[in-house]
Amino acid sequence: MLDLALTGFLLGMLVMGLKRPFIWVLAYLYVDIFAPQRMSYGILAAIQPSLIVFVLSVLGWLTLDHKASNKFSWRQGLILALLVYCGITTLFADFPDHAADKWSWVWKSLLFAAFLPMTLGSRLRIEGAALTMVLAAGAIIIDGGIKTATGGGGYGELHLFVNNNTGLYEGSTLSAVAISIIPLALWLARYGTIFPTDARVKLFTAGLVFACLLIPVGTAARTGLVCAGLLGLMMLRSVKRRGLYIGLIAAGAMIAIPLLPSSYTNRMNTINNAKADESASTRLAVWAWTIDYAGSHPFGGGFDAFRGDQLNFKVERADTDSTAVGTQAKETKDKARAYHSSYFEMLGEQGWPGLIMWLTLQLSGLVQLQMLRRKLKGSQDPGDISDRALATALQEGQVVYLLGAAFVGIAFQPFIFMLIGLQIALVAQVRKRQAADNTLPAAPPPAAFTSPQQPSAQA
Amino acid sequence: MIDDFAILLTHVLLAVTCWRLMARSDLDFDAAPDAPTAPGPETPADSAAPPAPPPAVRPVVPALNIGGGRRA
Repeated sequence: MLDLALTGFLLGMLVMGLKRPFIWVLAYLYVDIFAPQRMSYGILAAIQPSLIVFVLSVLGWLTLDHKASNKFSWRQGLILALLVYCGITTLFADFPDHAADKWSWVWKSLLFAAFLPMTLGSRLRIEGAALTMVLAAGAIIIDGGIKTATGGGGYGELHLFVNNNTGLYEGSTLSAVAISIIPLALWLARYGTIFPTDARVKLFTAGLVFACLLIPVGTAARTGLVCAGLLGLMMLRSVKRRGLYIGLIAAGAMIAIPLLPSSYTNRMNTINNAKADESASTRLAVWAWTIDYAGSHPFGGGFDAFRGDQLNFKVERADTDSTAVGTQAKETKDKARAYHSSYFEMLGEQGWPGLIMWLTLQLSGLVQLQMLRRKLKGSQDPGDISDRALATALQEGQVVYLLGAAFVGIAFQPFIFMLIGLQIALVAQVRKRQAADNTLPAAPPPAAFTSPQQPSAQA
Repeated sequence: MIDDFAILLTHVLLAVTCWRLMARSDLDFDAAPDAPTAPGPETPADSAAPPAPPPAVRPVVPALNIGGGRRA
């Protein structure tokens, strides 16, 4: 039944795309994030819906779409350069079969990230893409949030739609993404025009944000807690009543902490003592191995190069056998441990050139968004106010991701590359509008008109 | 049960999103500002005035950059 429903839903999107080919772009976002084929045993599992909607969205944009395109930016060029570079490292990978597996989805993620901004030629398209991303991820997050609230969850025990530890269905990845989309969800609730602000939108958004905050609890992912803390700090920049905001956060924490399961608080306490935690010690050992590896392989070892690591490290444990207070170090050996960090993932797999390209792509986004925020600061134009708020939301989301990425290997996570696509489109659109404004005659004094396409922007 | 609820809720919203996007005229291009007549307070005399002349003879008003309506 579910299989039929999901197939019907996707078919419906494809049919709607015949009238508006942009819907096919949204269909790709939906399929890539929600991955309906993973919970299907029928048609969707037999075909490759991701590839089909990818081809449709590109062909539809090229041939059928009546669009106002954005100019190709240097950041899109950088994504393509990274794509080519990753293709080359895949050819010379240490583990060719594993590298080919990862390459099979990475190329699509990068190519679509370079393509997406060209399809987002209007404000409404950016909003539509953002809304689709939030709702598609929201399906998984709401599922996990409700299960957590009703007593489910635990480290590796939160069962989402599928028992498939890949993509957004992996706990730590979902935690980082769930926290990073909170600003985007709040922007949609306040400035959205597809679902203009009303009580129902506010209620749904409140529920979604609550579910996002529950995901780190449900997955017991320490990354999520760190990300949530950072987001709380970053949002201080944009809230109007900071005192009230801090008070609410403090009150919420005081209420929530006693209600958290002890398994969660115990796991969070290990953040303070990395030496005594095997997971943290393993990470440190892998990172040290990766730096050594990059010394001998400056151009990386291709995807999944971590499979060659051999680790020897010590884990400190409380000495419970004797009456004396102290710890004892236990020698531990391990091998083929994943990077558990996007930065080291890039360094080990793509070497220094890959890491530099990836960092440039990420950091330039933060800089561009900051410049855009500064440029639009003080404007009373509702469209500018909305654009500035979106820049803030995307920036906050990316900073949260970059922090989470320090502890999770999600360097090529498609969702994050979609966010980068939104960033590029937003920057391009604002530039385009400002260039158009500069060519227009000087406007008369502002009158009490509002933008027809932003009815909720003044809410 | 929870799975079905989460899927149903979000997919209904996704479907409504696509439906509404299909109906929007500003999907492909940002809406250009409506060609406004000269702004001014409406008076009873204005209301009683005859219909505005066709655009060809209407006094030229510069394209106004108002309220975020931008040219694509």
